[in-house]
Amino acid sequence: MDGETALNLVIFLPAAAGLALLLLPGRLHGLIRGAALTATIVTFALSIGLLRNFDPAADGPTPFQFVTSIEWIPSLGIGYRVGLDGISLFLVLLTTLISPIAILGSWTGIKERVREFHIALLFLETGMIGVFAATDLALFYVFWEVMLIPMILLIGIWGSKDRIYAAVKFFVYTMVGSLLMFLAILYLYAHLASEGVESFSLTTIYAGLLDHPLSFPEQVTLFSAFALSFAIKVPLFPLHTWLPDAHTEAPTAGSVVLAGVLLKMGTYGFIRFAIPFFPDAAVAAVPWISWLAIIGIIFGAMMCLVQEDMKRLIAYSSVSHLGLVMVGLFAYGSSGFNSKAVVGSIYQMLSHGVSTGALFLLVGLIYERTHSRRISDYGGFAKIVPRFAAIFFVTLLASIGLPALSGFVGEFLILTGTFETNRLYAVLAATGIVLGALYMLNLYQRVMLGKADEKRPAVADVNFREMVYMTPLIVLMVLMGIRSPWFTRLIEPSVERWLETFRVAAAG
Amino acid sequence: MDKFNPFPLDEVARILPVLTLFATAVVVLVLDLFLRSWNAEPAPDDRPAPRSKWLLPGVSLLGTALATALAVRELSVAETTTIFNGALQIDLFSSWVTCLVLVGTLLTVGAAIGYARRLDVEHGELYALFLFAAGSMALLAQSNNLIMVFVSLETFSMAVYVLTSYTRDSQRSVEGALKYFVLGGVSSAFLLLGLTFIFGATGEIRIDTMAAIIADPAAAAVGVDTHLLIAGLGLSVVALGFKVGAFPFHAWIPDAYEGAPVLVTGFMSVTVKSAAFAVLVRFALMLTGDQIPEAAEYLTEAVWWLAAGTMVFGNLVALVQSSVKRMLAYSAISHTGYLLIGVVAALRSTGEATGAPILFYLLPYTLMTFGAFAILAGLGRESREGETFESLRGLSRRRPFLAFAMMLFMVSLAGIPPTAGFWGKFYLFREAVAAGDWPLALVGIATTVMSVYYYLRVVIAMYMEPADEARQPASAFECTLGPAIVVAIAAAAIVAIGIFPDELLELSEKSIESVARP
Repeated sequence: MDGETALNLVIFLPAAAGLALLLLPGRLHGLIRGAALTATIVTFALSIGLLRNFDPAADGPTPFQFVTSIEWIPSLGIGYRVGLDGISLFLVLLTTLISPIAILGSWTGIKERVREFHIALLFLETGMIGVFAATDLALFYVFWEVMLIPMILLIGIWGSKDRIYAAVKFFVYTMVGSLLMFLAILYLYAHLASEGVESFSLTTIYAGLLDHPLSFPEQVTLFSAFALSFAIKVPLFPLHTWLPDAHTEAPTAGSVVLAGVLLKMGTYGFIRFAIPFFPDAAVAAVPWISWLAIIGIIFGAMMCLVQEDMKRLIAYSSVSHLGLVMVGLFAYGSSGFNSKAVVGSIYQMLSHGVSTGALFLLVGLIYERTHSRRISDYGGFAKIVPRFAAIFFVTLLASIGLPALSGFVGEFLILTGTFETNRLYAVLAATGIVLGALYMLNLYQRVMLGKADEKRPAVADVNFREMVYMTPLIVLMVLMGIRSPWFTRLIEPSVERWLETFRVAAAG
Repeated sequence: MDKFNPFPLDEVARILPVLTLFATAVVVLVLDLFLRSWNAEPAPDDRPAPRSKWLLPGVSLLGTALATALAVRELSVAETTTIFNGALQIDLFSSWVTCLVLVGTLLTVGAAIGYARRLDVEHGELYALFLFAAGSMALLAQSNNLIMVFVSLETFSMAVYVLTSYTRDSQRSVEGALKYFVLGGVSSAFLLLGLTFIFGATGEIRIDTMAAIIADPAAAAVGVDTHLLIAGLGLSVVALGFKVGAFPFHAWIPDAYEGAPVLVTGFMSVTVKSAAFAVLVRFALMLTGDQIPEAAEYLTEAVWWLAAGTMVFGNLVALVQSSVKRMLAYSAISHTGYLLIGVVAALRSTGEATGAPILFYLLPYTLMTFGAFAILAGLGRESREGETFESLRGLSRRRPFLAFAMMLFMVSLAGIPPTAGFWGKFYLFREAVAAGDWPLALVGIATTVMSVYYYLRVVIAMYMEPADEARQPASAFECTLGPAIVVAIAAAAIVAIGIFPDELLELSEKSIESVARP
């Protein structure tokens, strides 16, 4: 199978499987779970094929490979254009990996409306892959919004107590950002159309903006609209308030997908759209975004220190970690955007997806047994569930950024890159890592160590199914820690190429 | 002038869709008379005998379907012709609007199967009124003559007044109809005065001739009284703004929509809007020209404020409704605002024909709005209590298909892909931004954010809130056959257009070209 077909299959196979699930009777839960799992595993296998066929040295007319480009709505200049570069490739892989794991992780947790749950999850997967694969601005926006409905249904139907509040908050936040971005997209199109460039194709827009640059005030306005939408998704302080609610109230699969993939859409949006479209505005925004990101890093970490709810703690740790990603993305010095820091940010996105996804799975796993997410209800669990404790510990360390685990590489690249451009930012961002070690180890200590409650009913350790879905994540954390060139080899050329797609106007 | 032809068959052939509608209406009325006399003897308890069960809706449905097929066939005829001495102009634009009206009517008649019997209003008049109204709306879209405009507008208004009060036993229904009728009468007076002024300004009664004069007064050797023209257009906008429910001329809508039987509400909210927007667009494009820039300027200013006000008002008030039906009524008002964006964009652009987004958006609007009303109709929510958000609780468990369709309609109304409503908003806002009117697009965006919330409330009620089993017996979720089929068709169409909108976009673009400024 050629790469184009494979990519299209990867995008639409989950949705097709979701439609097929409609034909199955709703009471055959096992069959439905099995079918959904098979579909997502096949999707993952196909995406591994994409990874093998990806050529980092390719130097085609566009930065994208496996390109499909057909006219979809010619009267509006919209095409069905998809393709991958080294950046989106890994994000697609992350999505296809997380999806079967999310299904396995909610195998016993979801007992109601099983069929609808899996349909929503499968449509969500198509939406997420589409967002990363779209190389047409309008198509991107379509996928970006399509994903929203299954997500709020996941939170609102299968979530915990305050699920409706969390779903509404998530939805309204996202819509505010999305719609402003929508207007900015239309303005951008009108600007280019008045110059005779009538297409939503990304490569056309990149080239068109080089030939017909926007004025600085226009850039700033449009950048703000795009940035607001993406910053809500990231989330950047102070737009993060939806995140603790959504992550905490969502069912395990929802939290895993939210933390593992959805947050990356914000940072990906900055890379793919906001920065290359409006480079001058992006440069002007560097101090603003860097400071907000640094506040987010420290604030998120501080919030983690005082959380009583495990899920909420992990949610706030995401605010902190994603802040670091933003610092790296906006590491801008005299020689332009720092490619090392950008590579580090992308690496950190992947690492965070794996480790935080794993953390949510672990919390979900233990919650199924104890029905409590309160840290104070635990203690001494290392003796009761030793396998769980071991996995939990490795995951925590990966999240903290211990050398030889996935988190280290990204953090190291971001900090060294940022140090070259702005020492103050690097130093402040590094405090987040110190605090990270503090709250994560504190969490481990309170949950796993100490004296166990004697009267507590027996808790089963990690079973075979749970080992099956935790293993790939653990392996990946280690691999990403000790074999980082396997990944950066593909990311680096794309980042270099990315830096070429836009020019920053000479300063002064 | 052509030689007088007492019986112009080829011209009659061009209005076959309208004739079919009127003929079917008459047949239905006559059949109804016979049915009553047949039924009078064997069934003294006044219940319709089984043989008549399908007759009235069946004949009406067949007639409407035939008319729709004929109207759709007209869409392939690209040329513009005036018939009946210039009284009507058949062009792609009028054919498109006819199709829109007929789609709305087809859905209405389809949904009436079962619904009308349950409400005990299964009379020939009900169907005949729908058909008469639809026929006059089609005529309005084709009118090329100010008198035709007024007469056809009044004809369908009369039918709709009666339909609004159709459940005469219901106080709400009568109250709504009375408000509608009184205010409608005032608006008719405005329209009449406006049309008179326009006639006075140009000395012409044919719209196409007027358009030629306005485009180039010097060549026509006719003086155009600019002020009178502006006054005339302004008064017409007021009257049409009333018909489409633009703020501040919307006052009748909530009561009329809430009081009318829900199917009539659906019919009104889609077909009346299509027909009235047809006239508005025709006037906006044909009666303002580069030679008289003041007319376009004043009109743009006025419609801009109408659009912004309607969007803000409709969405704000919809936010606080507790009745789904009333929420949908305000949502219909807010959509008038979005459609008016298209009028503003069309007025702003010089030369190039625009306004196509209005024509396009009216189709998804028809499908999604009527679909939502049809669900309420199917569920038989005809009391104040039954129309609340709470009454939808548990729908996703009892009727998963209906709940899913309702969610689709809400998503589409909110303008979220992959539904037709998204492309409608996309196209409208794109046109506004391209015409340089991004502030209006910004108002549209801001109000869309508000609207998302109240559409979401419906989804929350259906899917997320626990059902109150005690208060809602299972029978509350039984759905009548006709509405269910209509809902399925509308939902499928919403998704199909959402994924493949291109042909319709092109068609709407071609249609608007036929009324472009000369």
